[in-house]
This record gives sequence, C-alpha cells and structure tokens, in this order.
Amino acid sequence: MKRSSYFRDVAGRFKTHKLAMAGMCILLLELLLLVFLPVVMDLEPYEIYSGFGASPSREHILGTDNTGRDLFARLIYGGRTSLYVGVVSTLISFAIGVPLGMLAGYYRGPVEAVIMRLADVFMSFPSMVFILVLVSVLGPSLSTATIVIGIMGWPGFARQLYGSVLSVREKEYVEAAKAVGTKNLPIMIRYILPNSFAPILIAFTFGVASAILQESGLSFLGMGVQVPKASWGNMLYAAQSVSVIATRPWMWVPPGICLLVTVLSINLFGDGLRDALDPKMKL
Amino acid sequence: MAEPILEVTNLKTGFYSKQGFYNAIEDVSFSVYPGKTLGIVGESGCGKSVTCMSMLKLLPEKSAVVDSASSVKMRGQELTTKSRKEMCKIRGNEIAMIFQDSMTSLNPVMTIGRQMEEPFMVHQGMSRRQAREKAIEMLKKVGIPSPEIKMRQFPHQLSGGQRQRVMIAMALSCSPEVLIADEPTTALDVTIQAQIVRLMKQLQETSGTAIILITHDMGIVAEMADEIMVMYAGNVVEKASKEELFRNPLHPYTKGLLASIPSLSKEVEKLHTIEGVVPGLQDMPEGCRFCDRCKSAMPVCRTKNPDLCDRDGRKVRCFLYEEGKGADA
Amino acid sequence: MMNKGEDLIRIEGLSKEFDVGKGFLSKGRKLKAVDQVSLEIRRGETLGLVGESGCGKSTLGRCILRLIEPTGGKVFYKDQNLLELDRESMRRMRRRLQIIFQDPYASLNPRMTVMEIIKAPLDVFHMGTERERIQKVMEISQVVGIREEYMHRYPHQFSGGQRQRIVIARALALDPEFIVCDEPVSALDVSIRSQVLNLIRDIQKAYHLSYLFISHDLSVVKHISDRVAVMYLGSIVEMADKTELFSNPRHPYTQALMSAIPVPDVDVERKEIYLEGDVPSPVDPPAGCRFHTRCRYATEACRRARPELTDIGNGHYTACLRQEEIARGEG
Repeated sequence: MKRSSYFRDVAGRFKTHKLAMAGMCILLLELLLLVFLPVVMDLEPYEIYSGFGASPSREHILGTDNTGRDLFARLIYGGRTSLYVGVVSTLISFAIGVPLGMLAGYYRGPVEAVIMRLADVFMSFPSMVFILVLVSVLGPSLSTATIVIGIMGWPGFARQLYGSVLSVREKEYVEAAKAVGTKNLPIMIRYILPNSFAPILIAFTFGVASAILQESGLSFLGMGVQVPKASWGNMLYAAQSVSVIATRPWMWVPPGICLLVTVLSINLFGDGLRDALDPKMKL
Repeated sequence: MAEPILEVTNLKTGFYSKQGFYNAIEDVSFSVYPGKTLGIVGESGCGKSVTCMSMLKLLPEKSAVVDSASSVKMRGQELTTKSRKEMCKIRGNEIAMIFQDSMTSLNPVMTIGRQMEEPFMVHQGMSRRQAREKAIEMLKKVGIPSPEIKMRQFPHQLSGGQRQRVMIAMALSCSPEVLIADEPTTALDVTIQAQIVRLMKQLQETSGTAIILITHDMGIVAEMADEIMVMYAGNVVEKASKEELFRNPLHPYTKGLLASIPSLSKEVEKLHTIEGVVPGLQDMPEGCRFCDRCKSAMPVCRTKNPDLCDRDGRKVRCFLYEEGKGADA
Repeated sequence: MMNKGEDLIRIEGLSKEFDVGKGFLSKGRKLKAVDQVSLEIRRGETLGLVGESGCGKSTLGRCILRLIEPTGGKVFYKDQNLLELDRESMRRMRRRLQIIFQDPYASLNPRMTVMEIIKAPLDVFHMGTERERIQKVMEISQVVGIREEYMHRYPHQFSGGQRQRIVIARALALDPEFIVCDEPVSALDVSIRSQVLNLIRDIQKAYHLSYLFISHDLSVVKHISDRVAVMYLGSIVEMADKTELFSNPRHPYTQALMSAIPVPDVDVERKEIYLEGDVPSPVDPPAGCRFHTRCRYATEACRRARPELTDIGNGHYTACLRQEEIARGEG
C-alpha cells in the first residue's frame, strides 16, 4: 500500500493541468504586482497632477485621466478594488448560501421547501436590474456594491450544495454516523460538508470571477465604485465617449485587458480545480 | 475430443499506468469446444475479465497492450492480427457476450424491440418486419412472457431477470459459435439465477454453442461448466475437468478457495481461511504469485514462478507437482 | 447480565410502509416493505434473516434500530419499547444497538482516518479522556486485526476485507449488545469472506453479542446462525432452528430457495424445484398468500386467505395453509 492523502492526490492532478497552472501563475503574479507595485513605484492614484488628459509619457506610463490622476496608479488600485469586491462579495454569498443549502438538503421537508423556493425567487429576478434598484436606494459605493452583489449570489451556492448534500446524506457512512448516535450538527459538519465540498469550492472560484465582472458592469454604468476611488469598471466608465475610445486607447485598453486576463485566469484555475478534485465530475 | 472452436495460447496483456507498465495476465492458454462450457473462476482482479476483453480486442488501445506472442485462433483463423473493424464483425456474429449488468448494457432510451431487431438487420440483412418476427421468436425461446408487449417496452420496465433473458436472446440472435458470459447471474437473486442457469444450459444443448463462463461463484461453475480454469493474480493456476477439480483440487489456492466456502451439508465451527490479500499489480511477489498466502510454500516458491505443468492430464502451476520435486501435498 | 436464551430484542407486528409515486396531484400508493413482522432475538444468539432482494430484510434491520422509522408495531429491547423513546433517549440507546453495513466502500467516511472513524462513536458519547479513547481504539483494532501503523490512513487505502474490519471495529467501539449485520460479506471476495465471517463469530463470543444476520446467501446464513427466518415480500414465511430449517424446510418458498442455490460440489445431488416468474411488486402484492403466484401447491384458498405464521412444534414456525399436506407429500 502506498501512502497518499486526498490533498496530495488533488495537487498531483492539478499540476498536470497546464492551463490551470498557467491561470494560477498569472493570478499569483497579479496578486504580487497589486500588493507590491504601489510601494515599489510609489504610486499615487488620488494625486492630481498638472496635465490632465495627458498621453503616456515617462512620468505617467499610461498618461493621466481627465482630472489629472495617474492612470497606471489607478489601474493597479483598481485591480485591488476589483479583487476585493470579487472575493468579499463571493464570501458573503458563500456564508449565506452554504448553511442554507446544507439545511435544505439535510432536513428536507418544510425547511427544504422554504429555502429552495426562496432561492428560486431570488434567481428569477433579473439580478442586474435588482442590483441597480438596490444601489439607487442605498446610494452607490464600494461597500454597497460588494454587499449587494454578495447577497444576490447566495442561491447559486445554496443550490450547488443542496444538490450534493442530497446525494451524500444517503451514503451509508452518514447512516453509520447516525447509528452510533451522532447528533445532526456534527453529522453535517464532519460527514456531509467535507464530502460535498468540492463543487462548492469550484463554485467559489467561478463566483469570484463573476462578481468581478458584475462589479465592473455596475461601475461601468456609474452605479458601482465611485470616483475618486478607482476600479477597472469605473475606469472603463470614464473612457465611454466615442472620441476617447477612438483617440485615447490607453485609457480603456489596459483595464479591459486586465479584467479579461483576471477573469479568464480565475476560470481556468477553477476548471483545473474541478478536474483535480473529482476526475469523474464534469459540470 | 472434437476440434476446438477457439484456441487461446500464451495470452499476455499489460497496462500502462502512472507508475509504469504492469502485466495484468500472463501465460493464459485454453481451448473451447463446441457444446462445452469452460468456467473461468477467480476473485476480483485475477484477470478473468481482462482475458476475455483482450481476446475480443475490447481493451482501450491507448493503455492496454496485448503481447505480440499471444495467439487467439477461432477455427484456425488468427484474431489477434485482425483490425478493429473485422473484430467488430466477429463479435456479435461468431462470438457473443453477456455482461453482468444488464441495465447498463442495454440502451435505456430504445425499446427492447428496436434493440432486438438491430442485430438481425445489421448482421443478417433482414427487413424490419422479418427482424421483428425473429426477435419475438428469440424472446419466446428465452422464456419471456408476452413478448409482443415486451418488445414495445423500455429496459427499465423489465425486471432484472427479464433483462438478463433479453441480453441472452440478443447474444444468441446471430447463433454465435462461442458465447462469453461474464458474471451473467451475479446481479440476480438465487431463484432467478437458477432460472437463467437452466435457460443457458437448455439453449446450449439445442444450439451446441460453446460457452466461456466467467464467475467468482464456485457454485455456478459446479452447475454449468465442463472444464474449469482457476485464475489467481493474472496466472492460470489450475485447469481440470469439473469433477476432478472439485473432488481433488491440486493447487493450494484452489484447495483453500473450496475449503473457505461455507457448506450447506457440513457444519464447521471455524471456516478455513486464506490469510492475507490478493497482491496488487504493482507489488507482485518475486516468485509464485500465491507464495505469500500459501501454507505449503517452499524456498523455491519465493524465487521463481512455477510453470503450468501437466499432471495426469490436468494442469497445475505449483512446484509441489513439478517432476522430481516433492510428492503429493 | 441476563441469561443466555432470554429475549434481548422482541419485535411485535412491525410494519414499514413507504409512499411511492406521490405526485403533485396524485395521492400515491403505499409500498409495504415490512408487513406485520414479529420475531425475537435471544441473548447471545444469531438470528439469520434470508430473502431475495426487495423482500424487506434490510428495511427490517434498519427499522429495529430506528434508522428508518417504522410505521407500526413495537420493538422491545429488553423491556423497553424503542419506538416510544424520544430522540435523545433513542440516541443514548444507540450505544447498545449497532449495525454493520454491506458495502465497506460506502460505509466509511472517505475524509476521516481509521483512527478518527473508530474513535468517532466514543467522542459522541464523551467516553473517558482522549487518551483512554485512543487506548480503546487501539484495543479494538487489535481484536479485529487492523495493524497499528495503519491507523492514520484513509479508507481508500484499504482493501474491501480490511475496510470491513474497520466497520466492525467502529460497531464494537461502544460495547454494544446487539448488532444488525446487513449483508456484511456479500461485497467481499470468497477468500476474504471466510476471514470476515470468522471474525464476526469470534467477536460474538468475546463480547457476548447477539446478531441479526441479514443475507441472501443461504450457505453463509447456515454457517453463522443459530436460528433462521426466511422472508418473502415483507413477511416472514418460515422461521426455525437452523438444523431444523435446513433439514426439514416446510414452506414451499424455503424449499425452492434451498434448491436454487448452486452447490460448489459435484457429488451433491439436489432436488430441483424451479420457481417460475418474478417476485411480484410490493406496491401491489398479491391477495391472500403472497407467494401463491409462484407456488406450485397453491389452491383457491391460498389466493384468498393470508396464512399466519404458526408454530408446528419445536419452535418451527411456518406461514403456509397447506404445510401439513405438503409435509405428507400430497402436494
């Protein structure tokens, strides 16, 4: 018998997945840049320099925006915002969706009916419209965007977990745990959650990607992160006019590319994770 | 004895895995005669299914390699060199198979009728109407009640026993010369199993088909087989007629296996056991593959895998029976 | 401790009905998986329960432990009706009543090590200190034959036989008095099967256990049981002492079942009784005697009246209207 653990097997399979490894490397690199570049290069995203609307130069690599803020600094800080919104709002969805999905799948009956119908209701709203309404009521800001996107995302997690809990709860080892008198909460935490966690973990990565996109969409509509705070979305918003698109591509191409590369990398990473966690499962 | 229909010599198959290349079966030889049943018995992982799959070229080409010295002759015709396409024709026409799990072997979204008609239309060029009549006739033959109605039903609407009958009917529809039955009754209840065994015996009597019966159940081979081949860890360890094997098993593994089955006629306080577990492909013992679990293992057993040797017209792979070494055990 | 021979478990009229096909509008039908079963299991004995798939034997085993809530009847453990206990008392009672499952690949949590799996029941009941629990786990592992150095491995690293030993160790951890063995060797290879059967017998002696041993394999049941009950479509059709039942089966179904087993011996002649047809669906079982559709002795009376399980002497019970005539050979 060879010694091996579940984690080592997963890591082994993940390593053979080239695209996923590439995605992971890009994400790590991006994270490093976002954390250290401002310190190393002494970037100031809020400082207003004299020449506004300037073209790229040695001083400002990507030029300045219409108010005279350094665009490269804003790109980096915007990345921080995007990732922050992506991760935090997904965590909020996760924190709401996972317990609800678990309860619905484990107890079935009325609990299941209430939670899952609620999820259906949430999912049948056109979410962007709903988010827009909420934001206009609460007033647009970074935290509103994060919270609203987070709240709208829970049904996805709840459904995903609910589905796997339904199958795991019928497994004999769960019955065995009941047979030795294990209480419900420990059964959920020790027996069901670890065995239905893989799809949730994968859903988390995809959730981050989609939250980043939602945030940029929201900001692009002017309802998300507000200037002077930078985000990739509101940088695109600032470059909306036809003349800017045509004549000053440095204002919108870099944030656009960053957004694309980030979301793509996260999705590739998620794909690899899915294949590694469960070679049989294909979503 | 009559001419064998199928002759397998020196069959050897290996698999590529992450850890390297391993031989799953080695030195497997046997012959099948018309109207006779060869039982291949062994525990899971002994290579009994791999044997048949490699014979029929059903293994994935990417990871499985059948050794070039292997030979599978059907009426003198070499099968190992045939192309996939040619093999496809031979399977279903001259050699048919029945599997353990009838639910997965039947197409769940096609009616029984459609699935039954197809081989007649494809292999024998019949019209749908002819094929239909033939299919109903086959279903009657295997004892399916009201076949006209069953023809319109889907596999899940039939019971396990009925599905297995349909499988047999499909396998026999082109009157094959060899029928390979891979654990045909394992998923069935005993009373249904008895029905299926009886059916297979009756069909064999009328058609003279040769049967290769793969099973782990000693009871089933005792019931159906004429000759029995016992496999262990990829090797044939013993081959004899059914009577000889059950009355006087030679190989320590066969002896242990027979002794460890609880008997309905005898009472024992403690069952005989074969200690340890079947070795995996990666950690095959150096010498005889059974030596780690064998009570009569000698020093030579640990260094060299014995050859399959003749003894009174039977074959056994054990040093206890090799010329000039040791007496009866 | 009670004497051997006293009833440890007594079941009276136990039933379990499942709702099937209950749709949005349709009312659905009842599937009688277990239908009015009464039996008792004595201290220190093994009661074998045989029957074909779908006859309700596993459901019966789970109903006794309330892993499935029965819909009717009583289950007495000593003198306590388990079905009257509230959830918490039942949970405490589980220490005494355990189960060994059929599929050792499905009954172990793949994310827990062997140590964690066997220790879990001890943790649930807060037995002793952490050190004492580990001590206890080590003791049991030795009894069932799991090597100490394997304790921190995960289930997927073991073979079927070893996994079943882990399952047995977990069941033993709480010092139970009664264990339901639900097809514990059906998933195992022949040479491993006898190892596990011997182990199950050994621990019975060592721990004074009583078993309900569920299996479809008559030869295994004969080896391990003291008494045997035969189940068909949710009801017990015959129950007797092992030797009595196997030498003198009285119910036509038992007779057919025995003759259907392939015997791994070429010199044994056996009577060939073939049962035609399939087991009827438990959703709408035949009226009268459940077996009459496949019984060669069936008469008009069998189609109407449902035979009761009656004592025909020597603790041999059978549920057949014509058993006397069949016994006299007038079938």
